[in-house]
Amino acid sequence: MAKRIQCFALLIIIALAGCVKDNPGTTPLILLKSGGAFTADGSAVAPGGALRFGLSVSGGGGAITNLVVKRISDGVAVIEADKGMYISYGGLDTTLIYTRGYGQTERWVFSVMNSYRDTASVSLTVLKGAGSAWGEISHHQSIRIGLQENTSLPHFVDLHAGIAYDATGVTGHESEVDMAAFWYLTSGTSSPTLTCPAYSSALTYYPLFGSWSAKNQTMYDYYTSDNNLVTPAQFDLATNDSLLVNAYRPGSVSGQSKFAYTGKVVPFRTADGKYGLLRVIRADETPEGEMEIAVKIQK
Amino acid sequence: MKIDVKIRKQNTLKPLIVKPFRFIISAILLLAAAAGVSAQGTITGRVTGGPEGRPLPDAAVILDGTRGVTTGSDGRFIIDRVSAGTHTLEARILGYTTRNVTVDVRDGATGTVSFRLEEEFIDAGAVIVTANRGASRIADVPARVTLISSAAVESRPVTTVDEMLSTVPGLNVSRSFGIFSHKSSVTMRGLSGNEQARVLVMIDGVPVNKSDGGSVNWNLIDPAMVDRIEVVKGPASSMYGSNAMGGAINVITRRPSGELSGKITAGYGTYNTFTGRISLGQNMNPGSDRGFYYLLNGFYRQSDGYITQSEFDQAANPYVVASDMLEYSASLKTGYNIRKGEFIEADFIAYNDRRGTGELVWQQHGNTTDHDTYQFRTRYSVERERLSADVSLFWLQEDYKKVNEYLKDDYTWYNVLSERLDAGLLSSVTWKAGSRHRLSAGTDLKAGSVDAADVYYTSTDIVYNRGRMLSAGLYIQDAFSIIHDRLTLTAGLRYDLSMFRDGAFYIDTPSAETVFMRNIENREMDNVTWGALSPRLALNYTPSEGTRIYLSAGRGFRPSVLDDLCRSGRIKGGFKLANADASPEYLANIEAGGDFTLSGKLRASLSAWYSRGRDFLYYVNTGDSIDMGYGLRPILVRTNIPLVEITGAEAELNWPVSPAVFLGAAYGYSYSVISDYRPLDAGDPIDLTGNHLTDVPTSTVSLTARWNNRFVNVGLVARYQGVMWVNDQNIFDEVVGSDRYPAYATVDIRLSRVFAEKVSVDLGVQNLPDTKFYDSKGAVCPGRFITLELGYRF
Repeated sequence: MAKRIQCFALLIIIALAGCVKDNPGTTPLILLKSGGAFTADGSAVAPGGALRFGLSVSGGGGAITNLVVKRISDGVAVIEADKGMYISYGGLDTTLIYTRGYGQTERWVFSVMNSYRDTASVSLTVLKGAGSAWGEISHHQSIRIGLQENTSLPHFVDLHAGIAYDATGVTGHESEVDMAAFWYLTSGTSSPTLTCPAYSSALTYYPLFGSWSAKNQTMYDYYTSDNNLVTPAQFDLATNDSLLVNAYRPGSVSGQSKFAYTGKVVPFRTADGKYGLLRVIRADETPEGEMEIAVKIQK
Repeated sequence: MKIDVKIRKQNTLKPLIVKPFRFIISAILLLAAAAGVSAQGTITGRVTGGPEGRPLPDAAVILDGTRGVTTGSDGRFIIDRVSAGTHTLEARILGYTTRNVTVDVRDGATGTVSFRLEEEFIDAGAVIVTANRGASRIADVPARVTLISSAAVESRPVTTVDEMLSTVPGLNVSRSFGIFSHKSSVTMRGLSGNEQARVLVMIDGVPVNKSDGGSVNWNLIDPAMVDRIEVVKGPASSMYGSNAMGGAINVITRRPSGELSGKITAGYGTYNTFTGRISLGQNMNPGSDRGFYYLLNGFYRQSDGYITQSEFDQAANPYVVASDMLEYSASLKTGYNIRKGEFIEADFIAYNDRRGTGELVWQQHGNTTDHDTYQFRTRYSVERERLSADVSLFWLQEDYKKVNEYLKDDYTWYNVLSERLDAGLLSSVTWKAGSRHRLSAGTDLKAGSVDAADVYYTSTDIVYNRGRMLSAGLYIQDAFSIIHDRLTLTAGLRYDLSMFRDGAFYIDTPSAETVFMRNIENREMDNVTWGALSPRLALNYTPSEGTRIYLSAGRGFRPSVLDDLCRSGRIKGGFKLANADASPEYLANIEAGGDFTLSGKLRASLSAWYSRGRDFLYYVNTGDSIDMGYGLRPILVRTNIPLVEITGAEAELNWPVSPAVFLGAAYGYSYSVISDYRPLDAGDPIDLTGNHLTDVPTSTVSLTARWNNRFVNVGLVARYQGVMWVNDQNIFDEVVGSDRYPAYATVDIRLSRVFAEKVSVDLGVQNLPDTKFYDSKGAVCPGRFITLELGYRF
């Protein structure tokens, strides 16, 4: 009987000692790549000019979970990217492309965090170059698409070309599709919504996305939902990509879906990094309805 | 009825006389006389019972109604110095039929008598401790009380303790996924099924509702630890204060009293579910009123689980996985019997679990919940002829962790880490003053706190919330016997003081994930103090044995839980704002009921009640909305709405057809409606007046059957649950596909048998017809769930 008691006591001890303590990690490491292909610290770039930053990141014992890109232009900070990820092996090697703004000096800060919430940062300063380098844009004045249960209008939009495909015509063009739209009612709120093929919940409305091998991710700016930061008049006046680039405020939540009522102007960024503005000319609030949009996008 | 009477031959034996029918036991042991020995003999024996025929400790074995002993943990007893001649030997224990045997004792001889007691439904004469915080007969309690005896616990086909309550009329058990549910709740009397905070739950008299959300970790309680469960329906705040507004449930655990014994159980079931259980207990000085005792329990369960999502959701989300589970616990109860009716006791429970919620992206186990729970309790209890007292000190800590990860726009991973602590000192004294008064009084001091953080790993945010709730209560009650043993008037009053302190909600290093919450940060919430009186007045009339009528009126109260006071965040249907200004809610209740013997042993219990909830705590639309990154959502706040009315009735039939066969039926009805609603914002177009409370089944029906025979013992439970409204507005829900959850019916069965009094085999089948039902998120239940358990008693 004594052995029974001992065995039982041992089981109890094992059960109580079953807690596992996380191992502490070490600080991650982030390096800026150098060379002619990348923007160097102290270099001068004209407003609208392209900035290329090469990053090499290791997690320091933990997985890399977050990358933040901050632009500090004349002392005003804007979060350009705040991306969650989980890279447990091999580190992160990436090139980021941005557009030089109007500020006299732009300080760029790149921060990473690992799965132990240890962080590391690196920064560089880009001076203001002479002249202007704002780029050309394409303007698609009217694109009509159907919401999810609309059977007469096409659904899938190539924002670069301004073309809308229907379910048949999209075959072979899946990798060119940047946008679709649906309507839904949640908690009593009517929500005509912009989305993109990469958004997993879009499958609910467009099961066809499930069979696409290429599903583009278009990011829509959060703030346009609550504040008319870009007015239709400003949209009409834009002749280069200056407004397109500067209107996109990635410091706020930007997502692959964004609701958009009639009259809203929604900044966006496509999977290939092109900035654009999307003006909702008309958005019906039924699943059988339609949405008419105008688009300005970087060439 | 079956009676085993064994006689160990000592000398000469007289024939045994047994009357197996008419359920009356008699046996005669004839013990040979030895020449020259004094005219005394000895009787030894064993008392067993239940479907397993397990030994029954603490059973009273009484000789001629004047002299008795109690059985040890192995069910054995010995009575010596029995004078030669014919005697009556009676064995009795709560929850089993009492047996009488006629014994003829001869000089100098020892005879053996084995009692096999059959389960008995609980009659009005049973004693409970919950209603009056002291021992009372159910028949004397002017309220609807249900006692689930240890025998009933053994025969029920359940895997968790709360499931044992699913057949009690008026109770609403919410456990959508069986053992895979990471949370469950038990409410009653028409109160919403997702609001555990309105029903007090105790283990051995110690509250286990957490101050943070009022929730109870029902998984903490291993069914094997349970001796019996007492349920007091209707407001019990005059005794217990807050949380008991809707009623009180007390789970009473086993207490060892005999020699060293234990049991090992191993089980296997659907979805590759393994269960292991071991218990060991001993009274170091059995048969004495003094001495140490201890009871050790260990429990382990793991399962591969199943996919809860619909086929459509599985197609849309490549990260769907089975919701698996792992849990284990260990407990030690130890104590010292100082003298008869006086003991000091301490127990400790450690519990841990990890339950998957069905999605895995990058984390080792995906989305999971984890409860590390530790409960410590000490108790001193003394019972004298006229005075009894009970003091308990408790400490309950839950370290909760919830892993959230998903891949939508990009990868998001954050952990909810919450330390919930509750501690307190409870005391009660009962004094029988004269022949007519039974006075009770006591004080309760409790402190609860939450210290929580949502720690993001894919962004820099940490969202903190914390707060403390301190409470003190003082109660007094008098049960005045107007007509001795016939008419009793009970009057009680309790005053509670509740203090909310050190509330805070704030964000460190916010990013876009939480930026929308910046303007509702509050690092120093106002301290708030509330006071509440909870009166009760009740009459109990017992015109004859087996019949009684009661009438009761009382009021219960409950302040907001810490989660509503100091945490803002996403909830179903919107965004919840913390609100430290909400007043406590009150529930006034008037109730009438009675117990009647219809025919022979067929008994009926009826109750009807009407409740008015004033300042009812409810989620109310502020009229504002917020965009959390996926569209505008309404901002809700937990605040008081003027009036909720609940009307209900319960009926219960219990029919012990024979000691081997028991049939029971129960019906519960409730109608819960918002009678007066006042929007916070004048522009809010939503008017909830006339709407039904959510998660309240209008009707519940249960049928129970037990049949014990020499081949296999059978326990059968059939349940029907009526429709329940899904949301506050009583409107169509896109996920459920209706405005109401559909009604469903299910059947559970348990077959068991004991071999050689050592080895037990149990086969349990839950949800025999494989009924599929869904929760508010569209997740499906496990369906038919089969378990086979083998046990060995030593």
